Amino acid sequence: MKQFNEDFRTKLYETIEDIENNSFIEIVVIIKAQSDKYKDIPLLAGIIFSFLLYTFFMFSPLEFGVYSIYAFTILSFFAVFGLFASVPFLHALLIKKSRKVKAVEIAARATFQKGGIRFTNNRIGTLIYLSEFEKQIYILPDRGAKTSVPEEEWENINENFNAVFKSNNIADELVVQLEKCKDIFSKYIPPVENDINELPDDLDVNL
Amino acid sequence: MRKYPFLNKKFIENNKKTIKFLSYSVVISVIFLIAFLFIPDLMYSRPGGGHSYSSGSSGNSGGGDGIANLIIWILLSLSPEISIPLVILIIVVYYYKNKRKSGSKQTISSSPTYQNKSNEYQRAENQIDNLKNSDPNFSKTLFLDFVSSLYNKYYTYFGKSEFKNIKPFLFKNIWDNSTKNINQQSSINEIVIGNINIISVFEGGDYTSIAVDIKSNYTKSIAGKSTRHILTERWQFSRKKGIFSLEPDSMRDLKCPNCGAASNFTDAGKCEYCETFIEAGTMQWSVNNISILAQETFSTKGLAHYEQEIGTDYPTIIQPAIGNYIAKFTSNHNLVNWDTFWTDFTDNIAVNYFTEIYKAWSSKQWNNIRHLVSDRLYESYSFWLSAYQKENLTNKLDNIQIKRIDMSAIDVDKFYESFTVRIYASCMDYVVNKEGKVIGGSKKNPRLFSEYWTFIRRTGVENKKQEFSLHNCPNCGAPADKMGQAAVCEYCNTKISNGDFSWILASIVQDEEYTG
Repeated sequence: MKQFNEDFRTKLYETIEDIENNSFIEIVVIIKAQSDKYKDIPLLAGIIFSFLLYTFFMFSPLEFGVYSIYAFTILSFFAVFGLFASVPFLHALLIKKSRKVKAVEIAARATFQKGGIRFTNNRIGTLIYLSEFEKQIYILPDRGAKTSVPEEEWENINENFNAVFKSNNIADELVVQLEKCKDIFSKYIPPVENDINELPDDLDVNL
Repeated sequence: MRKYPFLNKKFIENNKKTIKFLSYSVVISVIFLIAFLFIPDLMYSRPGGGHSYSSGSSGNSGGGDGIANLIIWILLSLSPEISIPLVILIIVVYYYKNKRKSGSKQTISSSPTYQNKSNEYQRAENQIDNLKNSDPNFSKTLFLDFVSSLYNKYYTYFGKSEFKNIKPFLFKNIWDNSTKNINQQSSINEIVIGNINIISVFEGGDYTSIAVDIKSNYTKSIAGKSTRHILTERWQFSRKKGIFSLEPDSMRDLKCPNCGAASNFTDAGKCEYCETFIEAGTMQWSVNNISILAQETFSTKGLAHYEQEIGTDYPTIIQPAIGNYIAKFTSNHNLVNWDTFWTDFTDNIAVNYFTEIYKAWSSKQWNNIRHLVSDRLYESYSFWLSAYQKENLTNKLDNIQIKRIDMSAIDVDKFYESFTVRIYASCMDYVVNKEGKVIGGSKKNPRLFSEYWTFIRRTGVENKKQEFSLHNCPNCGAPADKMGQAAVCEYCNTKISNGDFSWILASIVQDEEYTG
């Protein structure tokens, strides 16, 4: 999350402001460290490892003291649990991509709901949800925005946004992709007179 | 027989006790090392925290001392076979829980940064200055009074026959939306407006528009059942270009913009007195757009709940052209030295008002300072005081000490002058129940906080002796003990809370919420 610093946030806000000045759309960008805790993964890793160690203690030709068996079995569980819980790389190894995609979608939809992005009069709120751990971006336009822009354009936007993870600087690339959307939104959802921002700046998005 | 796989059998036999002792010592040392890494955080977690009057909720963190003590107790009381795994378990669970907590905070949104807010503030200030150039009668203070008055009437009359009395102040789209599908069983009352903030001024077509954010709360009754709501709404007011703002009397209350009579219109928007059709936006600001940004149900359950203070370390938001306004104020009042006036203002107004107002809040004698605050502020704080009283709670603010006062903004227009200052202070902020037991905050640890206070005064009012008297009517000099709810002095029968005679506190905004 270090890339998403104060300078980035200032630039992000200005970019969205620029898009909204040239279009009726209302954009909210949310960046999450991760969309799910995947609590079962370290737990499972800990259980399996301690079970294997316990099996080794029991059936090994070597002799072990009872305290050692007891202590090392428990310690091994916590050690492996802690390792998998705190090292994202190990954690990520055991999670399927489809599960990550699903987790991001669920979190994005929940954020959309909780943040009240659906409360614009013309249903033109659009959420761009980035989840760093899963390396996924989920774009969720409300009905008005979804139907105003051709599906092909949405597919291109999705594709371009998900390519930001190939960049060394995700934050900068995210802003670049947002800037590219300006003309598309301006073309299909042009600005209207007396348009005011209907979404608050401080959306409640913590799930 | 116990065996240690990695050591020589004979050596183990000879040093059994030493090995056992060393093993446990290593494990215990590791535990203490880990605990040491966590405990400082726990020991110094702040029991107090912030308290927002606008939301009525805050929070409290803590409980770390309990875990540290529990770990020590377990290690000293139980046998190593039980205590060690138990302590490991506690530390892992605690670490995991904390990691989850900090993980959930790792959310970045496209909300404005301090830099963005500062840029927007500057833009809005420039837009207001431009508006003042084209409309010399425009007064921010009076405009906000008008917004407040219209907002109040809009909800009070909503769904009732009197709604027609505000027709000239609503554009057709708002009128149509507000009058169709009305639930006859519902009504809105007890409207309390907290803050009103100008977001932007812009021009489009033949109209000049102003967008404002309004924080309020009201009670909605449906079929006799009431619910209190807290809202943030964005209203857009528009008016034809080239129109001048009305005189103060017609801005403070809703009046016919043509004849000045009290607003009494037909369904078609014709004034009952002068029989003129008033079209929205032709003579007065009218509502063009309403958007509810946030709405939640009000609950008194969070009143004793404290959160960590945020925003105190934010830099003070200073009006971009403050130098020009200081010069204008100095010139208008023929001041020889601005610094002398500023010292006088902070010492006699800001410090004294701050002390008196918080004393009245803490002692629940809110009426004591009725003559020092605006109607909106008085009503807003009365609402929160009654919410505390309803729950048999008292918010105490002991040992209030002002640490510093910074100038933030000055506004000078044809009718009003206003000063916004940032006041840094500390106090013991806590909530007690009817038995006097502290149930939130801290009676021992002072809480440092800062707030933006805006004082207003009618332009042209000079420093009279009475204006610095906190306990007398600034008009007649009689004791300020008979002001009533409406701030009308019973001795001289004059309304005091408009700032026509002395400085009035118009708003209090928490540092994290202030945007200029």
